[in-house]
Amino acid sequence: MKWLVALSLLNLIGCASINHDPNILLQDPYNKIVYSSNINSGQPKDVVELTLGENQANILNTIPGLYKKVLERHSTPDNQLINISNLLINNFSVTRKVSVPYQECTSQSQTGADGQTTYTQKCKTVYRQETKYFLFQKVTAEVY
Amino acid sequence: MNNAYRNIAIIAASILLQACSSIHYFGSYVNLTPNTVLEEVTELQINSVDIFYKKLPNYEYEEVAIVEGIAAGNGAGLEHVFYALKQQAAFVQGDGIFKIEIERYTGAAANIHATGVIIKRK
Repeated sequence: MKWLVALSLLNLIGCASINHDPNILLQDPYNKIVYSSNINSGQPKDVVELTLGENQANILNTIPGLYKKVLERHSTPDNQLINISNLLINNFSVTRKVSVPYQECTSQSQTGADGQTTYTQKCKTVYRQETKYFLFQKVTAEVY
Repeated sequence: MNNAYRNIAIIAASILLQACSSIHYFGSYVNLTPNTVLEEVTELQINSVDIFYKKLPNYEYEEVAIVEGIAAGNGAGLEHVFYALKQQAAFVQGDGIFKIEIERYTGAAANIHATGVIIKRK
């Protein structure tokens, strides 16, 4: 029984790997933005959107990127707080055909009169069409 | 003889548990408001986080953080990505996850990418 418990614990440690930076939006200048989950009254004065792909398509990049865009568009000289709401996150993937380079090599052997064999290898780069999946993350927020 | 059975049971359990290691899942989160204190996560805390998949919870809540989870590898399923989300939610002591967005994609291995917003009871 002890073995099973130890194995389970080891397995849990092996399965879970956590990467987090909880303070990313608490630092200057991001702390100029005040997020509210339920602003329903009135029309937003702006809707800001950001889409990032591949290894940038995660919240640790998209959310600070969105906040940066909000700051660029709405910062005031007196550093007033900016209210945002209705944050939406959308994950999607796109299939694309891409050219992938490969090395195609041929080798030849030649045996001389002295009985010695020499090998020569010729390589060229060829391109093959492959289907690849690209992950994107789109984030949107309303500015009030 | 009893020892032999015990060893067989341990090996069988190891093989079953090892199946999980082919699935790699991880997550991240960013705070929406500067009001959370991080504490050590326990299994109990993770289990107490509810998943509200595109459905309003029936209590008053506030949104406190954004979470993300990815499950990758053969056999990766929704339960793994939800576990990753719950794990992140437990870090900020959330009561639930809402506005979940899931995207499955396949490349070299099966992948599930999910994001959500952590909510706390008011």
